[in-house]
Amino acid sequence: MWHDAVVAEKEERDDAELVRRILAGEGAHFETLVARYQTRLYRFISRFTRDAEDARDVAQEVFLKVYGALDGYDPRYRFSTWLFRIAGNAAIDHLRRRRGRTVPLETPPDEDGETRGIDPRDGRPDPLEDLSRRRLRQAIDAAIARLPDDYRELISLRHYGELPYEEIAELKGMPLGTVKNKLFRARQALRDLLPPGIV
Amino acid sequence: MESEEHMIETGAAAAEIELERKLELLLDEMVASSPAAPPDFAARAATRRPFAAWEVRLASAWKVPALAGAGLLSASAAVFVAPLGQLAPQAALTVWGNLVTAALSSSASAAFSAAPALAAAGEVLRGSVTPALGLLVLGSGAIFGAATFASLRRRTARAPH
Repeated sequence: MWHDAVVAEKEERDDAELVRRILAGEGAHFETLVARYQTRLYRFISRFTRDAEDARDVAQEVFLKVYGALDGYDPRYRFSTWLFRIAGNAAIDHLRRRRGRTVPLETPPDEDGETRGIDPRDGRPDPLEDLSRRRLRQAIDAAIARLPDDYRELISLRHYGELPYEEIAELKGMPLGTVKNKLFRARQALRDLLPPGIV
Repeated sequence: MESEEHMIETGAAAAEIELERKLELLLDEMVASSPAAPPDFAARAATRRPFAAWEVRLASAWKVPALAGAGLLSASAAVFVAPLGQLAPQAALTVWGNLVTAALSSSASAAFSAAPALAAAGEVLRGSVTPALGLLVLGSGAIFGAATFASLRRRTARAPH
């Protein structure tokens, strides 16, 4: 815990320094900034888009938007909070744009192009033995996709964006206790949506 | 784990805490092995970064365009002045100066000189437009307008917040 806090503080200092140098004209540091957050941001956005190509496009849009607005970043706050706030808005916008289309209750195609439907209540006797690792991931992905938007956002920020509770509270403008409570309820809802026996 | 502390604070049952812990571990495990951004993602994003509004205020951002402009101007001076310079350097510089001025101002003067011709063309059209031709022009205008609007809207919709 202490080590995590120290690392987070160092990253925060480094981010502010990188932003300062980019704003001073050393644009090449932007790539370093992107590389630092690309995995977490991509995984976070993937929870919303459920499509690798869309996730890549939205993530790129977010970074380009961040670059364009970099002079508006207030270094008193964490860079990651600002970044994930922009990403959250972009992801929600993407969902709104896509809402016209029907989203099937099945996981995205595998590498072989095959899709597999998920029945959250198929009642297998021992799902851990039956479900391969990939199917387990698909079940979790499908369950997260079925969560209400606010729960999905919190789960995504916490687990896929790897943000600490304090940062989520800052980002969402909620008291810390409310964030913890909501995340607890979100995980409960997630458990209810998973096939029995997984957790 | 922070969530466990929270549950203990809220008096959740031991079984519930265990389920919560298992789900957190499962999620962390799944996230750790879930697909990441493509390896060239950062380089591509860096390549595609726009010329941001804040960069306009940076003197260093103007270095390349200023150098390119100065280079072009010097090259053109060299090309025009060198051969003429053998005759009379002063005359060569005057010719080059006039050429540069004409090149830079020709588009503005062309538009200025075209204004009376455009006005005359408008007068002629006004006198000879038939209802069918009018409808055709209006229809084409509407289609062009709709296409432009759709393209602008698509671009705006794709812009991130």
